[in-house]
Amino acid sequence: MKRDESRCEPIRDLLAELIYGELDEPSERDVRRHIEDCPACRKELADLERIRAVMRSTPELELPAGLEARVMSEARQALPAGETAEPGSEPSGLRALLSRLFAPPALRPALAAALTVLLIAGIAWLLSERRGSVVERHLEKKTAEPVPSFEAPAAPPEEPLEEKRTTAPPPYPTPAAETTASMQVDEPTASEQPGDGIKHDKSPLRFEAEAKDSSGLHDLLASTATGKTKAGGDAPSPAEKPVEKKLAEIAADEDVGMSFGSVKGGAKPTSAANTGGDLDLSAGEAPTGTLGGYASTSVTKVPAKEPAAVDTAAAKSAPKPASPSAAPTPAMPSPGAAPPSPTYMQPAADMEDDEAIEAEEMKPSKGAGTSGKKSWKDKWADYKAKKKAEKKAKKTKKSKKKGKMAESVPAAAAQGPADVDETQDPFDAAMSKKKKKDYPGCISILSSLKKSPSSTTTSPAKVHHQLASCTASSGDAKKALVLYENLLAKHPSYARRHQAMMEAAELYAKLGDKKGARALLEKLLDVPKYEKKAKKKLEKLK
Amino acid sequence: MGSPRTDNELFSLYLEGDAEAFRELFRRHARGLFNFAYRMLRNAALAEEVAQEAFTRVVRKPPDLSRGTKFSTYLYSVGRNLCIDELRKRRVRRHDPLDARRGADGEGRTLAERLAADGPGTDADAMNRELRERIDDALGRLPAEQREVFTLREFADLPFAEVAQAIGCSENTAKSRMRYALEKLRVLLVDLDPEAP
Repeated sequence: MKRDESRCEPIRDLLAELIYGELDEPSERDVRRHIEDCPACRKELADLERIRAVMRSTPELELPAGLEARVMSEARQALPAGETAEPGSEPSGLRALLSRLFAPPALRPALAAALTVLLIAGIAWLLSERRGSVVERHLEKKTAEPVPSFEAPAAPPEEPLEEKRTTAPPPYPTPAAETTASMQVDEPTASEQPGDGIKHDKSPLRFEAEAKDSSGLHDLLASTATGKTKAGGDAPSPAEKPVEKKLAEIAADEDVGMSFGSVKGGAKPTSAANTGGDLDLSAGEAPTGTLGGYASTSVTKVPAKEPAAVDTAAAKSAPKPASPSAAPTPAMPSPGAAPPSPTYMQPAADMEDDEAIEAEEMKPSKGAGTSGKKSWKDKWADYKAKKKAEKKAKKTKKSKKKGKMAESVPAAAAQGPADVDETQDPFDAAMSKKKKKDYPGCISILSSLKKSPSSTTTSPAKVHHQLASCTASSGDAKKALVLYENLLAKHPSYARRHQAMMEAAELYAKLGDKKGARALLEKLLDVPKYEKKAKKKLEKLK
Repeated sequence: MGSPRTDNELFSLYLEGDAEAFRELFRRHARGLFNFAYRMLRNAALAEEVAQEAFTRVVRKPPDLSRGTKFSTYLYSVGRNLCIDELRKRRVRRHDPLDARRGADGEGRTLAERLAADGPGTDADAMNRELRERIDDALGRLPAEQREVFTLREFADLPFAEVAQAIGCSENTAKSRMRYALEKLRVLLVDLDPEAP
């Protein structure tokens, strides 16, 4: 009996589903009914089931040892830190709540960004606090500075201060103590700057110290701070002059109290000076910049100039104020400010000029003599300028080095900068041109190198040889031959002399000068390396 | 006692910080994935790499399972793509000759030696090894499309719908490929007796 194949085909399509148990009940019933009647389909189903049985009879490969540990390690790492739960436990309580709030992956980047911002803000705040203490140190030092040109309010006598200390021990050094400290700055002691480093409670002293340099308003501020009304002025005593000198000397050491590294008020520069520099300056601007503005109304010499100096330095070096209060206050100009003394502070524009900066660098001691001692801000500005100049000088030196090479590259090479790398030795540039069969370019570079051999590290003989070789390759055999002859005459100890001789002999032969070629080839017969080649060529010439 | 958690539930727990939920997922699917990769690549070391990489990718870039995608489907599709990448690298994507597979694998070992080394241990039954070798040979003769369908259905135990989803084709195509694969295997393994050990 002939079976209807068209009836079997759809059934066979379903056999795979049947053996894997994916057929729905009605379909399975239909298929089984057909199979009962159809031996071919029955056979096929039996075969398929046998294959499945075979497949199942082969053991699966076991998982390699360590795979689970590695995957689980990855899985834990992929989870945000601290989110991994104890084995078998589920997130619960506060953590579950937090994870529900923040665990959605979409929120994680935002959360991370917010935390980063908070972290940065925290660091900035900490730094600004530290800066504050550094500024205070500088201002404290200033209290000891004699300022002969204006009447500074009298420093409170020692005794009342001592009294004050007994009643309410201040967390900062008293002016008297500070004076001593400043005088002994070469030999810093622990008592010099008590609590140096991070101190945030020195504001009374800060006002007091600033008042010495400043106006009556400062006096008022100082008196408010100290609870005393100051009157009269202290003319600088002759004894203070050596101190000033000493300070001027110390001023040369830029890091006096300017870096976070000099914790004990030591004058030794520290590596932290550079990193702390910007911050110190910006921190120092606030009190002086602000107070300087007030000061300018009554103070004629030093204080009025300070704001300008600070603004200049601030504009250049402290783009980010540490805190709103620390920011320079351009809205508070000093209307009555005296024009800055030319020696006092370099204008911003001039600061760009290396020479001006260098000149300014030479001034500190001079400046101390003419316009009183340089303030720490000026010193800092000088320091920055010095650093800048050094950097620039380094750069110039580097570029000069490069320029020296570049200068030696002939115009032809310079015209094609795309081909010639500035840092590349001109000889290498020539060789790359030779490789590209740019013989005119190559000859041009080599010719200039031949004239100024110092502009390349390659030996003059080699340059000469390559020039001859390139000239020959360019087709100018006569000129090349002249170059070869010159090479052989000028550089008798040239390492590739024999090679040059061979090439020259070839050129002679090319030009039909058999005599010239023979003379060279005969010389080469004594050179083992070229003996065979020379013999062959000689035979050819015959 | 409640019913065991589904894969997707376990994965959600993992995303909430329960690393142990992921361990459970690993234990459910790692062996299947590893064997699938092994059948596809016929190299245990590469299969291990593929399995590890597939799980790693799942945790590093968690899939969105909210639209009804099953975790297993996603995992196998990642594994399958990795296998295809590997096959492409080796340029044995289609109809690789049997002789080539039997030949040196770079370390100069025969297929049987490789299987012995790659297998569970040297104490594995020789007959089993021979049987597996025959099956591997037969699977190796299948075109990759049929092989992956057969392997996913037979060894990874994915329903045809999931197989189709994992390999990115229609369910009917997957079934059709399965049929051809079975027919070919029927011919290739005609002499094998499933009753033999």
